Amino acid sequence: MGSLTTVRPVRARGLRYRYPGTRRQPGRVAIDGLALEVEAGERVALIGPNGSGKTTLVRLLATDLPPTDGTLELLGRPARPASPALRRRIAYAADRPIHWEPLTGTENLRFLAEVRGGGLDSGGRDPLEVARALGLGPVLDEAVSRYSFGMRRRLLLAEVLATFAPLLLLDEPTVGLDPEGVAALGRELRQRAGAGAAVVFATNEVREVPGWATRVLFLHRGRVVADAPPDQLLARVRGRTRIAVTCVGGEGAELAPLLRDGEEPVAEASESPGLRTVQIRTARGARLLPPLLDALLDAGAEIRQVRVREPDLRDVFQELTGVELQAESTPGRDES
Amino acid sequence: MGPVWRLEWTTALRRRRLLALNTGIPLLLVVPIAVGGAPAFHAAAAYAVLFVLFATFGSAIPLVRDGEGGHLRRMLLAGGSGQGILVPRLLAGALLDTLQLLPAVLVILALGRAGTHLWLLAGPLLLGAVLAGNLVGVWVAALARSLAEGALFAAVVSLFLLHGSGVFRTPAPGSLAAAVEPLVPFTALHRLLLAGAGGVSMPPGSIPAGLLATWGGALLLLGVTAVVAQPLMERISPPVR
Repeated sequence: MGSLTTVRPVRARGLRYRYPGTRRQPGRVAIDGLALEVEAGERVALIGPNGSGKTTLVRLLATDLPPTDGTLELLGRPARPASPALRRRIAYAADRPIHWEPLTGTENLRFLAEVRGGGLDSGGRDPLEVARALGLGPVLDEAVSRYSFGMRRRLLLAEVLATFAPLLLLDEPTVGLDPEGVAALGRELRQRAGAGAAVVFATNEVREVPGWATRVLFLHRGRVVADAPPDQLLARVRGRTRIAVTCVGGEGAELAPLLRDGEEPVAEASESPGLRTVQIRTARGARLLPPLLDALLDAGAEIRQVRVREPDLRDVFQELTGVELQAESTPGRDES
Repeated sequence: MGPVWRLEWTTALRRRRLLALNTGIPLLLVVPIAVGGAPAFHAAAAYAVLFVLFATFGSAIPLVRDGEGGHLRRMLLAGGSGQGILVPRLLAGALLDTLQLLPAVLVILALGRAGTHLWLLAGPLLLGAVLAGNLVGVWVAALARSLAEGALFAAVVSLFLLHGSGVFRTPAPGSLAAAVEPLVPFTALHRLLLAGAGGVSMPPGSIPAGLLATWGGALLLLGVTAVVAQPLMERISPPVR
């Protein structure tokens, strides 16, 4: 594996960030004493619910925000003050795509490459090629003002992935992408990391992450609650299928006799008046479903929806923190 | 001249409606005054206010807008330097503003049957004054926290500087205002417009001093702005919340 840098791309100690507030209303602490080291070639996924500090951490690493406290070294240099030379070596895709609307996709790519000190033909990776790989080929010569949100996201990702920066930062990179775009992004990330770049991305797309990340960091209330390879984390919940039945009525259903040791109903969620969702974690997989449905129907329940889901990183997160993690929606990937 | 210079020209030329409005509206405001028989002093004051506000607003408002929109931040985070972004943007903006205002100035000179030296002076003086106005707009943008604040500060600072350049009254000889007046970068442009409107003539002998004050002021301000461009840009383009 080649390496773009001989120094550790990220080294943080006691990192803290508090958003600006007022005297009456102090700002919220988003990152609270975080320690993190990322090596060249690693692909690190930051996972956590809204407000857990994922985006703030990515922005700190991108030098978009200054740390309130602690030390942060990026590519062997202090992150503060952030020099243009350091920033040129960090490629950052924010969650919101920002482009120059009157310019075409190609012109946007050329402009950012030149600001970074290169160009479309500077001997680096061709941004147009990356943009085509992400499915933007047919629209590259159109003004960005005509682009859909998904196209804008892809253009942003192409700009970032085409750089030779040894540190790649992506915030919610799968948002707005269709399944083909998500797959192409995964390939590109693996390729960049394979060339020696450190990749850090914030996401809740837990279905793709095991294939993308070499390491997962769970963030909760600005702190790291787990830091391990995805397989190691998934081993904690292996064999714990989640069954969820949404129904009207059936409150008197006797579920306890159906359950074995280690199986128990998860707290019921009420999505709208009259509807209730019964959730059970089981090692028996879908085999528990027929007796469960029978019990509910016998109690007069009207079944509206049945979902069977194999355990993923959401379950690990919930087990560690007690907090439910909402997955991003990726078109075409709904579970059933 | 670099990517930012090209970006400014490309976006300006593609926004044709805005280009037409920016050229047409000054003409629309100037022509009725020039043909309406307004006293030269009042006409020149109206022209000077128009041109200087055009220059300061034309720089401050897009900067605040691009700062709020995250475009400037995007360039900074991609490794663009404050100087490398701000200076070409200023120079391109000043040249574009001058080209858009020049037809209005030429109409004033034509209708006022101005002498040859005024015609030759119009371009360089206008460019220098517009550059100074654009630079004032940069500092205004650094102070403003919203578009509304940017507009307010630009108006206040411009009117204050216009007052200092003798646009609204002639300073009493020997006063502090009279000493300051020739140093303000908009004074020479105002005198040109006054002469062009048929008022007090601008003797050819006063031209070098006028050019020096305009360009000296503009270049001095440009130098100071370039030196502190990085913190200025960080301030104009704070992290998007």
